[in-house]
Amino acid sequence: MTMMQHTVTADAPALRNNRAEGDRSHRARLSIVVLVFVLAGTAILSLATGASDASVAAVIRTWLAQLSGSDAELSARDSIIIHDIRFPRMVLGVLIGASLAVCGATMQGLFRNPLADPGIVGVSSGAGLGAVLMIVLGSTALGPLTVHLGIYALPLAAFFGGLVTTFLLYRVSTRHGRTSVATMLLAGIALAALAGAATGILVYVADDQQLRDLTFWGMGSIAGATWSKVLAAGPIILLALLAGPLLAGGLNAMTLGEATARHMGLPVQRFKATAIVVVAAATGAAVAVSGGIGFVGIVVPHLLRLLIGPDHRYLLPASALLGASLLLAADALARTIVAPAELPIGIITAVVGAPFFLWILLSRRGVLDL
Amino acid sequence: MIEINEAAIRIGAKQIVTDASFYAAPGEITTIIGPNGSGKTTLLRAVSGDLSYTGSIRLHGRQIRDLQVWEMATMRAVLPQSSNLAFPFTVREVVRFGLTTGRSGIPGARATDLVEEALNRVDLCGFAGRFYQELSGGEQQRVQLARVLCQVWDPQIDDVPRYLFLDEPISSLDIRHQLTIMDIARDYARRGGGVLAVLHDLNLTAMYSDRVLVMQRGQCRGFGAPRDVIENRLLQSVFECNLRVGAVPSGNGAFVLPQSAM
Repeated sequence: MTMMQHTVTADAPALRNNRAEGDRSHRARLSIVVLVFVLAGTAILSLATGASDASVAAVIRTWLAQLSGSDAELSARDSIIIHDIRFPRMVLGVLIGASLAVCGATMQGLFRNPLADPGIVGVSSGAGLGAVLMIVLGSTALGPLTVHLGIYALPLAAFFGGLVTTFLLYRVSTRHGRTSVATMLLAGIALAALAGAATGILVYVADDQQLRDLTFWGMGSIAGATWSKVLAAGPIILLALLAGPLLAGGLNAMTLGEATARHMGLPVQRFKATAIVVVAAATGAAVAVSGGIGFVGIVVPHLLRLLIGPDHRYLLPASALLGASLLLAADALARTIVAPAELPIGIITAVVGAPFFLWILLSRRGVLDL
Repeated sequence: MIEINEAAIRIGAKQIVTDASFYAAPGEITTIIGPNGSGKTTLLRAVSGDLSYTGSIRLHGRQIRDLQVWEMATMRAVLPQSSNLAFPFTVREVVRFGLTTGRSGIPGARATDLVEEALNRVDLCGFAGRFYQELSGGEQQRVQLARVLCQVWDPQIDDVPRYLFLDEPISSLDIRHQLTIMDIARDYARRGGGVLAVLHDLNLTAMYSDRVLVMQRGQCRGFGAPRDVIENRLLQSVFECNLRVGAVPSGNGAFVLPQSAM
């Protein structure tokens, strides 16, 4: 009896799949819905987790009470912890995680390679150099910029650093429409080293306060999240995320190669320029507020390709959702694992992500043209 | 109508095509033949809009260099010699790419059926769920043809003929599928579209082409109906070997011509 039931339940989905064999769009849409709930869950977890015992349930109760006209109030301490510390931190985590994953997926599509990631090929280092330039020289040589751009000075500086690096990388590693993976990775090392050297010189001339800023910034963390950081990075990242769906069709065409993409009607040069600007902008904004958080851009799109396939129309939004969830989860771990102290979140993503990266290399060895 | 007049194409510093003049009319299969390195593919790439050229290459009266890529995509589809995919797409997903650009001429509701229909045409019924990268070279080539067919499904749109450009479409196919693919091309031309192909097989060229362009070292050596162009003197001089048209081999060694399958 149980055997028979088992057979029936196993056959039903198989029959349904037959109708559109090889069509994964249904599964992709379903996954996106599930990921929305996962993100909602991790967001609540993120609000509820921390060294203090401020409870989210209490907050929600108070909100609901206020909505129904009661004048219930949180204690001032809990209110500050939830509204001014954990809430901006959660929002920033969502923005950064989504940005890192979408940038990874976009860059992998652009370079037609699953190993391309802003963190690995030096784009983050370039963005970092831009940010350090602004931190160290913002009050002197770049003073006018700081005055005019206000809170946007840092993300914009990181954006230009990322833009120059991505552009150089593309020029060096792509010839006649073909990207050499080996050249791309090696060029990434060279560009990262160059950016690192320039950053080192800047650190050398930095004063004590700037050194403190740099140290905290460089560890890769969203611990210092404030609403002003959210305001500084948020609009740029949101713009880049919204550009994602516009890039999806082009990225799909690009997987067939540049010539074929052009034959299918994609203006390839303009498309590549747009994609590079989007990646540089989102990476720059993310690096500017959180320093270097690695591997999210590699791990998330790779897992999702296994689950829902590489169609960028679904891969980009799913990456944004899973990237945001993973970063929130990693951040929750970062602040509980050694509580009441905190680990920089970059350490956690690296501990999980680096072995994963090696696993991709191993499983594709022989297939990958290195 | 595609008209090429005194076209010259260089890639980098090297002059690949020095002087090409011919036409590819709708309703016909026009085939380019010639030895390796004679500039066949380069010429096709220029007509596809990939390379810059001097002289004149016109599609429906307009210079290729003046056409936008999306305009071109609605007027012709290009089958590449080989395609590697960067990511693991299924066959259905690859074929559907053909529908996302260009104009298939088919209303949206029928678009999904079109994928099945295209796969049937290229004899890949039941392959929709397979991963492209797990197929053999010949199967991959046919998947690409199905995608290309979807891009310009109706041979004419608003009475304007459309074109299939095929670069060695049968290079890695068995004999049965070579005939299948050439039949698809002939059917496309009969229904009012145009086909411009690069082929190496002289027998299939003679069987299927309405017009043949013979190239050697970047120059046109002959252009005309197969029976006028595929003849001893021209072939011997262009391919530099002692070919004889219509000669049955002496002795009793086996030989098979694709014509025998008709």
